[in-house]
Order: sequence, then C-alpha cells, then structure tokens
Amino acid sequence: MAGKNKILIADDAKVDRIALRKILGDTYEVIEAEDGQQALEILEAQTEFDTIAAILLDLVMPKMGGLEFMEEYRKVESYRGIPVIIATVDGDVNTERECLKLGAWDFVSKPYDASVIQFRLRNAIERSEQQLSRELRYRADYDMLTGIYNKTKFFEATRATLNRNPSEKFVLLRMDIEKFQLVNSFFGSSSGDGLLCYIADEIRRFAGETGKVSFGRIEADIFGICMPYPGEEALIEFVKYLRMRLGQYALEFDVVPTVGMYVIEEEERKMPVDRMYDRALLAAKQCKGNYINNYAFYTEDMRDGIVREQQIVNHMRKALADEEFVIYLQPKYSLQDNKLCGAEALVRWRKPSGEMISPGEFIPVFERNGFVIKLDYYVWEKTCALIAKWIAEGRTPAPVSVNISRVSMYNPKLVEWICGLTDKYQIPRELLQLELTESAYTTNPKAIKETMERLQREGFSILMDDFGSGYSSLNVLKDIAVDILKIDMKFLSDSEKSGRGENILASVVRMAKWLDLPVVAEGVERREQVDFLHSVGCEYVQGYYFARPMPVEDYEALAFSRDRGHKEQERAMDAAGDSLWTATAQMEGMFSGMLDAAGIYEYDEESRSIGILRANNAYYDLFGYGDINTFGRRDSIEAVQEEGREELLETFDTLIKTGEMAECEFMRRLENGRWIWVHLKLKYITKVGGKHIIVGTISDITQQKKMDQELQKYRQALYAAEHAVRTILVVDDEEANRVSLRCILEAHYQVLEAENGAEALSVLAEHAGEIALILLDLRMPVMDGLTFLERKSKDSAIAGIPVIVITADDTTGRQLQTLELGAEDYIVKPFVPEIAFRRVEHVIGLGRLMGQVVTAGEKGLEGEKI
Amino acid sequence: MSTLLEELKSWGCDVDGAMERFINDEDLYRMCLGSVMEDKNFDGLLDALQQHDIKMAFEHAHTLKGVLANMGLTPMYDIIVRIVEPLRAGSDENLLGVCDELMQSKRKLGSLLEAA
Repeated sequence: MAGKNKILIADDAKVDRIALRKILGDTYEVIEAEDGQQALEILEAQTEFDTIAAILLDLVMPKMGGLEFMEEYRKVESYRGIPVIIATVDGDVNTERECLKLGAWDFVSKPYDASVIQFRLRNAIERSEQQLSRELRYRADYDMLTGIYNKTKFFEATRATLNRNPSEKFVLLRMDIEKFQLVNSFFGSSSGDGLLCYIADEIRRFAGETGKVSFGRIEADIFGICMPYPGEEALIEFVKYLRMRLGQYALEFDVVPTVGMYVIEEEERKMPVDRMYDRALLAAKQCKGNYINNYAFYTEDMRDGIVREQQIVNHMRKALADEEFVIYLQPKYSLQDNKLCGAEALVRWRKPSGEMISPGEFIPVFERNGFVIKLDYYVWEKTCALIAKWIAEGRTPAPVSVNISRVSMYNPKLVEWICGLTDKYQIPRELLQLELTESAYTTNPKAIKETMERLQREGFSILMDDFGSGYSSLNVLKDIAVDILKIDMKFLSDSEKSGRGENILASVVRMAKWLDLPVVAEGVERREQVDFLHSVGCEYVQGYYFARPMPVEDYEALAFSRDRGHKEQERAMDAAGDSLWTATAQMEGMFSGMLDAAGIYEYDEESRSIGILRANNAYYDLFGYGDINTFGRRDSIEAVQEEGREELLETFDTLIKTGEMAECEFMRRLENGRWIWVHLKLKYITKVGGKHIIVGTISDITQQKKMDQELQKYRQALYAAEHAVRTILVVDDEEANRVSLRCILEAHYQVLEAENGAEALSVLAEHAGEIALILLDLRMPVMDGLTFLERKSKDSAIAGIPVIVITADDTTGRQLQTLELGAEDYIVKPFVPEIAFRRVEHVIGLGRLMGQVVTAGEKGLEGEKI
Repeated sequence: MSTLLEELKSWGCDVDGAMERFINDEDLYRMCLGSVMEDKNFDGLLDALQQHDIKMAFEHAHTLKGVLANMGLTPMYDIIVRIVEPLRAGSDENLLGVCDELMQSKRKLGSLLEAA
C-alpha cells in the first residue's frame, strides 16, 4: 500500500484530538477538523487518489455538530463509502440511533481505549476497502450500462466455463439487433439503452444460475452467449424463443435479433475464444437482413464466402462508376389477352471480362453495407433515362417498375430523389412504378407507411413485392398504401401439402379483388400455373414461361415491334360481395392458408356458447384432425380447462362490446388428451341473426409458459439462497440477557441459546456448519467465556466462526484479552437494540464480503491461468 | 512516575488509563492538562448557566465531559456528569452550585499543576 491511510478527526476539543493523534498517529495519517464545517471542507478538497479512509466524528461541536455533518455527508454518494465512527461521551442512546439512521458505521466512547479505537477503525476501513475493490473489479469486468460482463470478461468467463466442463459440448452465440441504429435515431438513445438493458435482462434470465452459461455485451448492440450445445433443433427453438421475447419489447419497432452460432468442436476447444467469436460473427453476417431466418450456423465454407464478399466490396465503387451494372427488363403480361403490359427493371453486374455476377450474390452484400442505396439510385436513373428516350423516340411505353430496397426506405430523401429523377427526365410519374418487398413493411410500419403515402400522393404506383412471404401479410394490407400486389409462384410450389399453396393463391387473388388491388403473379414457369392463374382470376403474370429478364435492346424489340394496343381494364367485381356469406367465404379462403392456427367462431351472448364454424389447416395441425368432431361444434369450450373457461367467456363478452380485438390465454386439452397452453387472439367480424361472428388466431405458448415457470423456480431458489436464515448462537448464563438478545435478533436471524461454554460447545458440535456468529458472555458457571474461546480456537471446525463478546462494562482489561483471543467485537450491557444489531450485521457482513471477494479472486485467477 | 501524576492519582484520577491513551507520553499528557486549564468551555458553561441558555450550556458541558474522561480527571468528570445529565433533560436547576464545585476542582487541578 502506498503510504498510510488518512483518518479525519472532527472534534472541537483540542485535547481529544491530541489524544487521538497520539493513539493513531503511528498507524494513520491524521487530519484534524475543529467542527463539522471544516470536516466537510476537507472532504470536498480531497482528490480521487488521495482520499480519507475513515472519519472519527464528535457529536457536539460548534458551527456544525456531528448530526448536521452526517446530514450533509449522506447527500454525497462518494462520501458514503467512507466509514464514519462516532465518538460518544455517554450512552445517549437516542443520539446513537439517530447517527445510525444517518449512516454512521460504528461508535467509540470517550474516554478512548486505544485498542478498541484501533480495532474499530481497522474493521471499518477493511470493510470499506473491500467494497471499493469489489467496485473496481466490477468496473473492470462489467458493462456499465447493462450490468453484464464486458467483452474481455466474457471471453475470460467463456474460457473458464469451457475448461471447467471439459466433457461437455458448447456453442458460442453472437447476437445483435437488426438495424439497431434506427432505434437510436428514431426513438432517441435512451430508448436504445433501454432496449439493450432489456436484452441483457432476458439473457440473464435465460442463463439462470447453472454456471455453464457465460454471457456479455461485446459492444454497442452486440451480445455474446456461450452455453452447452443442446443439439441443433433445441438451439433453433431457443433462438426463436429469444426472438419472440425480444419482439415483446414495447417499442414501435420490430426487434429482430440476428444470431450467428458456432458449435465448438472437440478439436477446436483450445482455440482462443476471440477466434471462436469471429466464427460466430461470420455466421451472423450470413443471416443479416434475412427476416425469415434470423440465425445461421458457422460452416467451413463461410470463410470462402467472406473472401468472395470482400472482392465484391473492393470492386463495387469502381464498378458503379464504370457502369458495369446493366439494366435488364423482364416483361409483364396481361393474362386476359396475353399482351405485354409493362416490365420490371432488374440489375446485372457484367464485369469487363464478360463474367456475370448474379444479383443473388451481390445484392445481399450491398444491402448489408448500405451500398444498395447507390445502386438503387443508379437503376432508377437508368430506367428514367430509358423511358425518356422511348418517349423522345415517339413510342408509348408501358410502365416499368423499379425496386426500392429496404435500406433505401430509410433514406429520408427517398421521395425527393425519386421525384427529382422523374422531373429531371420529364417522364409521367405513372410510367415509373415502385416495388417494395413486403418484409420492409413489417420493420417499421409507421415510418414506411408515411413514405409510401407521400409517394402515392406524388403520383407513383406502389407494388408490394413478394406478398405472402412475410409473416404478417394479411394484416399489412388493410393499413398500408399499396396499389398492386405481386406474389411469387415459387413460394407457393414450395408448400409441402398439395393444394395448400393453390388455396393460398386463390385466397390472395380473391381478397385482392375484394380490396380492388390488381395482382401480378411472378415466377410463372409452367403451363399448368398459367391455367390455374386463369382459373382463379389473376390478371397479370411475369416469369420465364412468358419471358426471361432481357437486355434493353431485346425488350425494345419485343415491346415496340408490334402494336400492343392494350390498355388493361379492371374487371368490375360483383358488388354483391358485401354480404356476410361472401365475406366469410373470402375470409375462409384467406385464413385457410394462414400459418397460424385460426378458426371462425360463432358466439351467442344469451347462452354464452361458443361454436366453431371453420378451422384452417394450421388449426388441425395444432389440435389434431379430430378435434372439432370430438368436441363438437357447439361446445368447444369443453376442451378448455375449467379454471380458464370463465375468463375465455369474458374475453368473448368484452370483444362483442368493443367490437375490436381481445385476447386471452388458457389451458386446453388436445384430441389425444394432452394439455397445452394457448394464446387466443380474437377479432370481431360481424353480427348475423343474433350471433356474433369472430375470427380467432391461436398460438401454442406451452413452451413459453414452461420456460416462465422454470425461470420462476430459479428465481425462488435464488431468492431463498440470498435470504437464507443465518443462525446465531447466544451464550449467556443470564436468561434475561439471552431473551433480550433473542428479541433483538429474532426478526433477522435464527437464534440458538446456550447457558455456558460447555453447552455452547455441544450446540456447536451439532450445528457447526450453520452458525454464522457467536455472542458470548464472559462470566459464566461451568465453563466461562475465556475457556470457551480457547477451546474454540483449537477446534478447526469451529475456529472460524466469528465471536462478539457480551460485556457488562465498557472499559478496559478483560475485553482486550478477548479481542486478542480472536473476538471480532463486543456489545455492552444493557443492550441497545439498534447498536447490538448493527454490530452483529457488521461482523456477519464482513465475513460475507470476504467470501465474495475470495470467490471473485479465484474466478479471476482461473481466467488468467489460461 | 512524577510527583504530579502521583498527586493526581491520590486525588482520584485514572492516571493509568489516561497514560495508556497518551501511550505513556507524560510530556504530552502534561501539555494537555495545561490546555484543560485554558479550556474556554468552563467559562462558557458558567456564562450559559447564568443566562439560562440550556442548549449552549449542554454543548459546553458535553464537550468537557469528553475531555475530562479522556484526561482521566475522574473527580472533575464525576462533577460534570452531574451537570450534563440534568441539562440533557432540559433542566438547569441548582446547576450553578454544581458548576461552582467544578470550578473549585479546576482550581485544585491548577494548583497541582503549578506546584509541579
């Protein structure tokens, strides 16, 4: 230690200060203050590296007395770490109580006893130093915002965990939040911080106390988790759970974690943790921007991918300047007359060598690094120039659609840019159509909606690309500004169940008609698809069956070689579609393809009966195919656990009152007798002949409930461990003394009693491991306190248990002897409850702190060994 | 041990206890005894009692109690306790008389010091 600890003595009596200086001068550097005011000034003047270790405070002083000083002292956080020991002249219990309330650590009484003062001071300083070192360690190891490990400590802890569990397989996860920077810029950095803390809490909740999960905040919105590898399927479940939990964060922003996972193979266990982390990072990069799969496992070929990606990044700027990106156009046709009615502008990268790079390869890279904004603009401008050229040539071009990537949607100048282009090239705005992929809408519906509406007001048509690929398609349509839907045939043919994809498409087309939206089917490759599209009334198509994307010259040849002479006309829909039955029929088609389980319910408020009219495929997947038959159409409530039935009915009652939405959770029996937890979300549709028609979507939340219950158990166990009742043994021959101590301590400790030293030894033999502290009288029959202490010090099983001596008088002699024998402190009779309790707390607290510091130290060492 | 300390002892002072506090530094102890004689709290106490300023009287008396205890001046300490306690309870009845006793004992201390 550098130099002596500094002690501040505040006492107006010079003689007392001299005495204290005499007593403490050898051990400490003593600074004196004549009153509280001076003491405060000295505290204020101290610097960070030259601080007061403890304060000895007289109570009665001119100008500012001890109590007033304490009032000021407690207001400053940095002072609270400095222990204050109050010097009292007389047992003025009320004042002492007051001092304790104000944050005093301990007392010494005048006349001073040199050993006692030394002892109390040393105790107080040690305690405060331990607290300080704990705090420093904390600052070095923890992330200040979220309170979890920082990068360095996380790597250390991960290494230690791997070494501690050599036979177990682990996986390292690297997680960040899609477009986190938008949270900060849209909602302010305090919202961002709030979200980060929420994420840290979720991870902490998950990690629990198994000791096998290490986690930390790497930087910004990046978190690391290392945990036992539960197998691929379970891990993916976990990632989904994580996404679900984060999605519940209350913010107008879809919080989507991107998770890169590296399964640590046996032969790679010795690899430095930062390299493991790099691998998880590689994996994470693969799934950035992929809204469907927000996770990826590290594979060996990812390294090759990274090299390739780097090449793309290295050349992209020059390629744009050199116009290596070329426009291709894919025609769209009207199914009604098979005539060309427009095109989509696509981009290809043609290298000077003639090599073509597929958009599938470079677009994701550009989307990740933001370069796509520049490429988007390039394509828009080329397209505008093309249309302008056609007009100048006297043609009547059909509209050409261009893509607006997700990243561009966040460009605040988007509308300005696009309008600027059509103005610059003087082309009618209806000739430039804008395609936006559906998943962009779900990212931040509000902001996107605004931009879309502005573009529409400016005269542009908006196409929703890839409709049906996102997870909230059906909801999106009613809220968002969109003029044309595009649906990808590929997405349909992927469906495993035959007929299901067709069903979805038919539903979408029907629904679109209902909403007055034209539909373009893209990816049309086969004759059967065309026939099918005809049959369901789809108007427009795009795909290889009709034409591949082609160079501009080819498109010009195709489009302008003959008179297209076609102007599409929307077929007038039968206006009778307003009736309920049309509506339910359409709805039925709609929801039969939904991924969530859904049912159409009929509710009779008089009899409070719930019937189910229709259910979709996912519903049967969830509840089993015999579900509705088994439980019957009228009384599906039979399947609901009795305790949940009233709540379910109330949810229906509420719904028909508000006519909007309502939801609830309950346990429900399956066809096979198993019980699951479900979440039911209801949406009111209409009223028909006294009955209410309601659509409900159902999700299985059993896993989530189970996890919540597990976590609850963990929390209880943790709470119990923290609040475990500690036991104190009181040894005193006077029953009155034992009773009064029991009264003081009982609320917080379990109290055992012994009448003398011998009895105490036998109680200890029985409860050795449980007893945290011994309160010991000195004068006792059979075996007195001193003998007991001697015996105790020789028995290693109990030697470590701290002792507080109970003594009748406050002065000299014996007590010192007991301190030498290893007692921690003493309590004077008659007992002052607060003081006795405080002294007990101090001694027990000191032991506890020591334990924590030791454990922390061991953990630290373990980390360093590697 | 010097005559002064012997005499203080026979007057009833806890000289041993005090010397322990001063780590057997007799010079320092003597110096402090000198400053006890000059301690303004004695006069302050008398003034305050005469003016029935109980709060002020208590502050002076309380400080003296600590000093006298630390100095091991037991005969004076015993007197000051009889002043502090009533004052703490808010009464100054008959305290001027006790204060007079205190002043007498202070003079006694003074004469012992002068003789040394």
